[in-house]
Amino acid sequence: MARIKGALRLSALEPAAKALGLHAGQALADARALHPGLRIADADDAADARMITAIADWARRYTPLAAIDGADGVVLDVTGCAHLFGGEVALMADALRRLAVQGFSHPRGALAGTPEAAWALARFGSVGGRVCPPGGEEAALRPLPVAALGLPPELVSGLKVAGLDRIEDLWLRPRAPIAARFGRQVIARLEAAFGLTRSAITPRLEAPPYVTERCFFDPILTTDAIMRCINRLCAEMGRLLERHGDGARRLEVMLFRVDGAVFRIKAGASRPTRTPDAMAALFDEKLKLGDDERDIAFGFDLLRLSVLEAVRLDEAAPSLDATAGAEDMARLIDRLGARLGEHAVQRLQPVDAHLPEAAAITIPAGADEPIRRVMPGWNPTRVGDEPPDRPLLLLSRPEAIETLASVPDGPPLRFRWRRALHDVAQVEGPERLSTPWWTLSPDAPPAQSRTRDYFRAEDRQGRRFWLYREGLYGQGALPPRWFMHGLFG
Amino acid sequence: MVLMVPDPFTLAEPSVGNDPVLPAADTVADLQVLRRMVAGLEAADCLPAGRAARFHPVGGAELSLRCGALHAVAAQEAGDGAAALAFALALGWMASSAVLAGARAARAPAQARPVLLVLEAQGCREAGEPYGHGLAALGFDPGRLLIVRAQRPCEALWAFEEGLRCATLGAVVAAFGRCPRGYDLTASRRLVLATRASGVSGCLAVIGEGGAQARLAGAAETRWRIAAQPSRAGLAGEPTGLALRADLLRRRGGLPCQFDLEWNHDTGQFIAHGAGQAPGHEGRPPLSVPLAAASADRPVEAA
Repeated sequence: MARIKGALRLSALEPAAKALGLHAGQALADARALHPGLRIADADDAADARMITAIADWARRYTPLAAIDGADGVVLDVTGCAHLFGGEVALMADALRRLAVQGFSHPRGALAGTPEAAWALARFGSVGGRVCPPGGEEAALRPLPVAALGLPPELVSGLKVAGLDRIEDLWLRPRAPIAARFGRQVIARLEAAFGLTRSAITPRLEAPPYVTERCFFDPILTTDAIMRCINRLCAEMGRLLERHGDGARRLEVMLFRVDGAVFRIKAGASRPTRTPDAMAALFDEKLKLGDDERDIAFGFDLLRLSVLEAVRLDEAAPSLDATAGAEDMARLIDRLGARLGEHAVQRLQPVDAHLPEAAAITIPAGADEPIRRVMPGWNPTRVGDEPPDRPLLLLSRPEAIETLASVPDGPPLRFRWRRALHDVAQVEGPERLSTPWWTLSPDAPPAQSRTRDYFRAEDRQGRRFWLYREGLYGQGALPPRWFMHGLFG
Repeated sequence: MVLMVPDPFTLAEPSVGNDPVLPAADTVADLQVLRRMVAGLEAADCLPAGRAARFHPVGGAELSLRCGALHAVAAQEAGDGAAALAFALALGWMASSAVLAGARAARAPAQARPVLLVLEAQGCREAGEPYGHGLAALGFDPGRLLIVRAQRPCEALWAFEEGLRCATLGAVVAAFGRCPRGYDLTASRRLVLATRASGVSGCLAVIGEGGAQARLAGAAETRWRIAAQPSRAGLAGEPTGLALRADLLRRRGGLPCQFDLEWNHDTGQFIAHGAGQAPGHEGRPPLSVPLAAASADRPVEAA
């Protein structure tokens, strides 16, 4: 039941309810009047969408090109895939049998030369799976009602009013008057269904460039067996990639459980690789990690390894002095990233920026080229044995402190930070930093453009701090405030 | 490698039955055999060829440490975390440069080895983020630094061990907010074995809380307690660079001692003010043994 056009209406029915003569779209009040004992549940569109998505993922066991079709269907492009399953008829039978095993009571399916014809035959053809032989679309479609063209309900009722009940009524008539009266859409659907124009489906996920898979007659039940299988798939994939001169950058393992659930494990390599061991190592950690949330239950009957992103990889000559440093580093970064998350491994990168917090960024360790404008080096202004002018640790956001200073715009004598009082013994400053004026809009609030005076202060215990005063006395409405920004070693 | 250790079983009297007879431990000869066995075992600890380098964390030869060993560093109080992290990074940097020196001696191409810094995110959030320009100011090249953030202490320990097993690295520094729960004798022994296998030095630093030295028990080669020290005043009375007091609480094959250290970022070395003293001897004259005795490979009595 759902609210459609301001009224509560039936949105989907059980077979038993259909047998009572109810139909989808009927007002709830009418249905209740006919059958007072009706059991009613709220429609949950999100759950429906999740289920359709899960079915579409499951259907990728037949072909990489699976698309969600409306709210209640999945469409597959099995061109070139059917022979792998023993032909089109066998494929259809296998798919319907597996869906029935999963608990879908009356799965319907059809296989035809065009997506529109398959759509029509699946919904309006006979129950069960129907396979339309090549060139048989016309014969199969002609007796179907016009609703099978997948047109909006207003158009369908309009066609019915005009006495055009079946597709053959449309098909045998001249097109121009129909197009003039009902719009080009009708003719376009008709021609697409009969294969006069070509149409394509929009797959939910892009087809990966390389795929290897292994199918099991008896499902595999242990993590060790899965890992062994992944190792073997990686070896196959390595040969495949080598033949094409490519390396894998992102990989995915799909685990198809017997009851239709699909688990996907993605892994990224920091540099393209086609070494089987390196590829398998990417999944090693992830598999161990996801063990608890992934319920093996009845086991997996299909494992698929696909390369989601492949780049050209030329064979490099191994160096003779056995310094395989870069390779080792890449492997370490991949291993750490596989378990802790790909963004957990970082490098520091200087940035040509004025404010201290913007002058250095962290980038993923695997990234090659700098993301922003880059300074030639680190801390270029420092010479000789000057003491460090930047702190070892920078607080992620400056923390407000209370200070006591001898003169208003002088350095602090004493300050309180995180509830502890510090007496300043030695201090150096100020180093004045302002927000670059060219980045400010003229009507920016004054808080954004406040000047910072940085001080290096050492307390009596020898701890060195980097603190600043924001704003100047006598300028602006707000009094200056003090902040702690970093810690020197 | 050939161990020049006689087999104790061949020295023992031929046994009557099939049971092996252990040497009686009360004879001088057997004690000597045992000593040589221990010496042999310690020699077996040495590193893969070309990486058997030492570094001198305290200026000159007052103290030298082996590369490919595990060190534990703790802050004396919660506020000394930055000093403790700086010291741990300095140990790591010195160890990786020492590896570099060893590699050059072996005529391998000179190449700076990267240092891995493992941060336990939860514990280190309070302390702040490592800042590239600040690292550069201390002489640590941020380009050689790789940072790993782990959400939980056990993940950080895992990343620490993974890093120690990667022989390409020069050193691994792991910073924890508090002493990680999983760090016990077994875990530290695993880490030590990893450092020995790869020759990578490890340094575990506890920077978020003070007084952790008692709970950092483990198989580490050295254990330090670090406190910030007032730095030498500059010409205009300004604070200068990194200065700290380092308590060497435990050290394999050596006595504990204490140093006042100042970091020289140009040479990448600490300068010690005052010779290493045994703790609790501040008021008394320093130990009446030559300085060379304090090196790691000779016990003090042998001097």
